[in-house]
Amino acid sequence: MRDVAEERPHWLFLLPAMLIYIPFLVVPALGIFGLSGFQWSGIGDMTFVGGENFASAAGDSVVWTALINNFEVGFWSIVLQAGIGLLLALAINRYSDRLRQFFQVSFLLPMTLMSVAVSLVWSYMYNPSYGVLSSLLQAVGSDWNPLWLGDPGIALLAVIFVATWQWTGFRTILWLAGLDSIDESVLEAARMDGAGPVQRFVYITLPLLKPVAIFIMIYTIIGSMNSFVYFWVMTQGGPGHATEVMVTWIYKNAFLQSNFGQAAAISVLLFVIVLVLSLLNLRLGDREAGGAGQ
Amino acid sequence: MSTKASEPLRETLAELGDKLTLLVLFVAAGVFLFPMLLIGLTSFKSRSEIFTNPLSLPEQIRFENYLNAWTTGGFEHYFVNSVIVVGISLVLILILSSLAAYALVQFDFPADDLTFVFFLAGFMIPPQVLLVPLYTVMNALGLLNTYFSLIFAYVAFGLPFSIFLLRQFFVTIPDTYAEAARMDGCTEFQVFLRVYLPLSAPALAAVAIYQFVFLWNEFLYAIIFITDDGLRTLPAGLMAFQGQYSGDWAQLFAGIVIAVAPTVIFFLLFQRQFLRGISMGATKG
Repeated sequence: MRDVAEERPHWLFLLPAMLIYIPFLVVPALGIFGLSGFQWSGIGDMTFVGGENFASAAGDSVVWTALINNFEVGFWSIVLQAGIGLLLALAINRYSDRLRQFFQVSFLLPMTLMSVAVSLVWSYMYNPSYGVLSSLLQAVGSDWNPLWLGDPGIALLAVIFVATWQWTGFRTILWLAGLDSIDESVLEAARMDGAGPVQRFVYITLPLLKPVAIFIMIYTIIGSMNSFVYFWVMTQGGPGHATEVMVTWIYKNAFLQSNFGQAAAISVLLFVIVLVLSLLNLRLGDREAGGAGQ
Repeated sequence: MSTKASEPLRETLAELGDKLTLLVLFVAAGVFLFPMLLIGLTSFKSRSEIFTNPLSLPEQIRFENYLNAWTTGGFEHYFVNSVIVVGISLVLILILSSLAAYALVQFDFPADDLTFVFFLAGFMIPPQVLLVPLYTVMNALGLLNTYFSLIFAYVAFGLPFSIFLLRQFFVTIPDTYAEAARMDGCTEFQVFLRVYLPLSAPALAAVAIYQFVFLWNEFLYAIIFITDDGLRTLPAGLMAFQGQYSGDWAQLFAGIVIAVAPTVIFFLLFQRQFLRGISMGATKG
C-alpha cells in the first residue's frame, strides 16, 4: 500500500492534460446545450430564445430527411460491411500465414486512405460520361447509364457503396479477430460428436461471435450517424436533400446560413442518439461473456 | 451416412468449394485494390488521355503532374503544414496522456476513479457533434486560422483513448519497480521518466500509430478552423485544389498520391502491429 501517497504531486501530472482537455473538449460539450438556447449568427449579439431552436428543428423537414438518411446509411452499412465482412472473414479463416497475411493487408489498405481522397476518386469513377462504372456498363452492352451521384434515387446508395468499399476490410479483420479467439478444441469436440460444418457454425461459432458482433454493429451505426466527408465531398447533401445527413445539415446551418443556435440544437439531437448507442454498447458488452466485451 | 460411391463425389465437391473460396477472396482483394491502382495509373496520364481511354495504361510515365501539384498546386505547403500539425499533436498526446495515466495508476488521491471516468467520458463524444461549440471556443480565443486550433482540438480528442490505453498498460508494471527506484532516491518524475516510459514503448507506439493515421486524415476541423490557404493541411488542401483545378483529374490524382503515401507506407511497414492492435481492440472491447 502506498502510505506516502498524499505527498505525491498527482495534480502536477494531471494538470497538463487537463489544460487542453477541459477548454477544448469539456467546455464545448457543455457549451453545446447553452448555445442551443440562443439565436446567434456566430458573431455579435446572442439572443436567448429558450427551446425555440428545438421547436424549429423538429418542424424542419430537412432534419427528418437527414435523420432518415442517417439510419438508412446505418442499416445498409451493417448489412453490407458487417455481412460481407463476416463472409470474407470465414473464407480467410481457412488459410494461414502467407495467403492470410496478403488478404488481411489488401483488405485493410482502403482504411488507411483519407476519406477526402477516396471520395474524390469515386467521384471520378462515378462520372456518367467518362467514369469507370459507366464505361464498364457500356462494355457489357448495357444501355442503362444512370447519373449515379446526380440521380436522387441512386445517390444515397452510391455514397453508401463508397463507405462500404473503404470499411468492409476493417470489419473483416474485426470478425477474424473474433474467430481467432474461439477455442479450436470446442469445435473439434463437436466434430467428434458428429456435428456437421453447418451445425458447428450455427451452434458454436455464431454464439461465441456475439460480443464481436455487438461491437461491430454498434460502432458501424455510430460511424454512420457521424458520417460527413463522403457526403460533403461527393454530393454536398444533394441532389436536393437526397443525401443530406445530420452533420452536413449542422455544417450548412452554422457556416452557410449563420444560424449557430439552430446548428447547436441539431448537434444536441445527434449527441443524444450517439450517447444512447454508446451506452447500449456498454450495457450489452457487459452482459456478454461475463464482461469479456469490455 | 454416405455410401462408398459418393465418397469421390464429396471430395470433388470439397475441392471445388476450396477453389471457389479462394477465387472469391482474390476477386474481393481486386475490388479493394482496383481504385488504388487507378489512382496510381491516372496520376501519370495527360489531361486528354483521361477522357479518351480512362482504363488504359498511361502512354508514358510523366512526373510533371507530381511536379505541378507539388509546386504550383500548393501541395508543398499542405504537406509541411500536415507534418507540423500532426507531429506536434502526436508529441503532445504522448506526453500528456502518459503523465496523466501515471498519476491515475501510481497515486492514491481522492476522486482518482472519478478523474479516470472524467477522461474516459470524452471517448463517447464524436468530434462532429462538437463542431459548432468548439468553433465558438476557438473563435473566442482568437485561434482560428492558426496551427493551434487544429493541434488543441486533436490533442483534446486524442487524450481519452490514449490515457485509457496507457493506464491499462501501466497497471501491468509491478509496483516494486517504482518502489525500488524511490528507495534509490528518484523523484516521482524520474520514476516516470526512467522506469515507466522505457517499459511502455510498445503501448506508446500503439497510441502513436493509431493517432497518426486518424490525425493525418482528419478533414472536418481542417476545413473549418483554417481558411487561409497557406496554413491548410493535406485533406483540406485536396478539397481546395479540386475546387480550383476542377477537371484536371491527372494532377489531382498526383496530389492524392502525395497525400495518402505516408499513411499507406506507414501501414505497410507496421502491418503486424496494426493487425494486432485491431484484434486486441475487438476482443478486449
